[in-house]
Amino acid sequence: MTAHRVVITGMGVTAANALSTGALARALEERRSGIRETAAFGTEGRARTAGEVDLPGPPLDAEDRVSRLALHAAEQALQDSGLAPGGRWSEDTGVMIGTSRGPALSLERFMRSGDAEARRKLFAEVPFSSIARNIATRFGLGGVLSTVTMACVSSSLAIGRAVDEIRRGRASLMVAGGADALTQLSFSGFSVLRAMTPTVCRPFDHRRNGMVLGEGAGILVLEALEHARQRGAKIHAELCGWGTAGDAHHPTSPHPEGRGLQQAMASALAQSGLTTEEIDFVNLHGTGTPANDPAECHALRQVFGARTASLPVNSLKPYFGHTLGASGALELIGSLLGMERDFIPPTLHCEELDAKCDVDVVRGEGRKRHIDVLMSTKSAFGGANVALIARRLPEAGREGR
Amino acid sequence: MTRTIVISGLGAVCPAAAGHEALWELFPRDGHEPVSTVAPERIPDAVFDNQPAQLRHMDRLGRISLAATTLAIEDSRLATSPGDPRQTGVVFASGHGCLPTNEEYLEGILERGPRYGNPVVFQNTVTNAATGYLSMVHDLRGPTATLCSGWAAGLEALRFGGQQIDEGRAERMVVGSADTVSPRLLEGLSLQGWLGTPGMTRPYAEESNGMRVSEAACTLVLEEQSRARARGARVYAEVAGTGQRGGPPQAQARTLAHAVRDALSLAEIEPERLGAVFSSANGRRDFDAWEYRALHEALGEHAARVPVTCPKAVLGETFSASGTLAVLLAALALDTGWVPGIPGSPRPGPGSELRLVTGAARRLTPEWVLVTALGAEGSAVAVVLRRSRP
Repeated sequence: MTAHRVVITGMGVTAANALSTGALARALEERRSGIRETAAFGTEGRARTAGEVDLPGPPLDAEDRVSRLALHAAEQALQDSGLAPGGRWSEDTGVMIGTSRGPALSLERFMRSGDAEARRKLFAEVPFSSIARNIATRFGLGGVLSTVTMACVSSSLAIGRAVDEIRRGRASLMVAGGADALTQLSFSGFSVLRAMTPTVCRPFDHRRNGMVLGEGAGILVLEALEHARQRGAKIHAELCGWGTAGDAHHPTSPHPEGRGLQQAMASALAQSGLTTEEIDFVNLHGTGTPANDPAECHALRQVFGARTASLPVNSLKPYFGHTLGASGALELIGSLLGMERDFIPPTLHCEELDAKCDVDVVRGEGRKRHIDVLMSTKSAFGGANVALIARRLPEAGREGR
Repeated sequence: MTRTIVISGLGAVCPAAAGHEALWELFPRDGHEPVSTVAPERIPDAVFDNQPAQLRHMDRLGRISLAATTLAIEDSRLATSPGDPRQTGVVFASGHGCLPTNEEYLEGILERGPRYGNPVVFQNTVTNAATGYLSMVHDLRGPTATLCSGWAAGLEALRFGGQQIDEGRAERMVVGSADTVSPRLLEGLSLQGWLGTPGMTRPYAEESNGMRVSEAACTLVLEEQSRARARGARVYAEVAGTGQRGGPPQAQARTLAHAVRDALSLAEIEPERLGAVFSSANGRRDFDAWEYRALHEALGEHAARVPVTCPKAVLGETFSASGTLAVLLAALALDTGWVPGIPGSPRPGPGSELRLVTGAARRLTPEWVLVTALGAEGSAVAVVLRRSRP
């Protein structure tokens, strides 16, 4: 069976600190966070800050905020790939979107509204699949249409599945990524679980005391290498491996040794054909919660062994918050932007490493470093884990950038 | 697909049946007609009241999913020969996900304020909570995924599961799908004008006026044929091909036709070799018209010749579970040679040229069958199954 190489030819983001990839690259270089006191709704719990997006344009009644976040990023990604506007669409172009909360705001409005016609329209947005449907409808895409809802690994899994579609020739182009909006449901829920910080998110720091929520979207255009070459597309990177595995441990806590994450990383490495020595950098989930960060670091040591000591890692959560289902795509794009600029963004607010997180966390000013291969890992409620591996094309001097 | 992937375990729960044998009996063959079982639409609590105590925090979606999954794993004999847990993955699908649990959590905070949210309810407000419970109880540590792609999500899960085995990422995959019914879901569907008046669901019939809905959960065990045979599992059918497409909702018929063609192409057969179709028609006139046009577009003249059955006429619209339930019935049809029937003698709707299997199950001994699933939001999935070969 033929396995096509899969490359990224378009990227788009919507985040609290950036509404474009260019702006995100600058924000990461300038170590600029978008976290602020939230205005989305009143907060009564111990956390009051979030990564809230100032979305341009007037609100639309027809689309949930999560779809607007996703459409903003998708349009950028398609333009970046040279496919929009008036691009050449085909029925082989699919849409694979990940989301954790989906259109929860429409559900909330549906529950509050007493008007039957308003409720009828709102209900059409309530299914999680409405985000992918809105993208397919807006851009006229007729390939595989799918929605992954796997909490915090949603968009990573969507990207991995999109890679499979292209690798096996079931699609030539895929629009893949994820989105989540800030919702009172999430804010309240993580607050009552005491998972959110009342101060700042400090991944891997011994004073870390929780995460900060965010909203946003990250969308990629993926295509077969030969397809991209044929149409002369610019190529950001190759997605050369991915893996997923379950912890089978607890509904909300990771396995203390990152059992599933170890397997997801091993599976991604096996597919890529790369060794641990060839991975130059790992973008971790790094939520800043007491349980997550040590579990990830343990898994890292188990998989990378002695290589761990010289393996730079970071977390991008302090820049735009934990964007839940969007985090996998958004943070992969942030990492790729760094790779294109020979720069590893630092983990903000990480000042004194926790002994349980004794790995090479990039801090301070960040690190100038040439990166050829990077891995991005995410973990989620339900014990789900995904690892993605991206690399600079060896021939990038000719067609990459 | 490069490997021969088979179905080696069946589990299902719906209001009228728990277990695949009980489900099969809802489609009698000895001159007796099946009857619609849509009312009552809720699964009796007794079906899942003996689940592990440590999982008392599960919501209803998790409970019915676990009930179906436990049945499938028992049927597959995996409990006695589980193998390496890292080689058994799980994919779970739901059309509406944990919508009722989200409603429950939101009701609490809208009424009393966000700081009074119930943390136990909150942990179930992510749809993959169900996947997590399935993996914890049955120690499933391979590839994992939760899909919420609408009503076709169950068949999409089957497709994903087969791909994981085909890629060599897992030796076997537990493929589940479930949906529960809540008052707000019923209200939302009613506001769209999709629900029929009480009475029988009549797919493709002149008198059809909408669908009737029900809860259900269905789980299948997929694995490579040689492994299933080696451990003495019963092999019900082969998964020969799958196709998945999407697009704007107004293009549903074309979308499904594409998916069917993709599935036939992967199975490497011409439409004429299909011995039966398990259609996802549900009694909604627009929905059934899309399905009808898609079958004619994809199967050509054979669409008027091939026997077509509609499980939703008996089981109701069970959303994501509909597709996996249809696969379960199709696998049993291949295994036994009997194709389930549709209750009553519906008068074919205007322009309908389908050979519906009405009344009692019919002895047809098909070698190949097609199962379709159409989502309400633009997605479509088709699966071609083949009778198991020794």
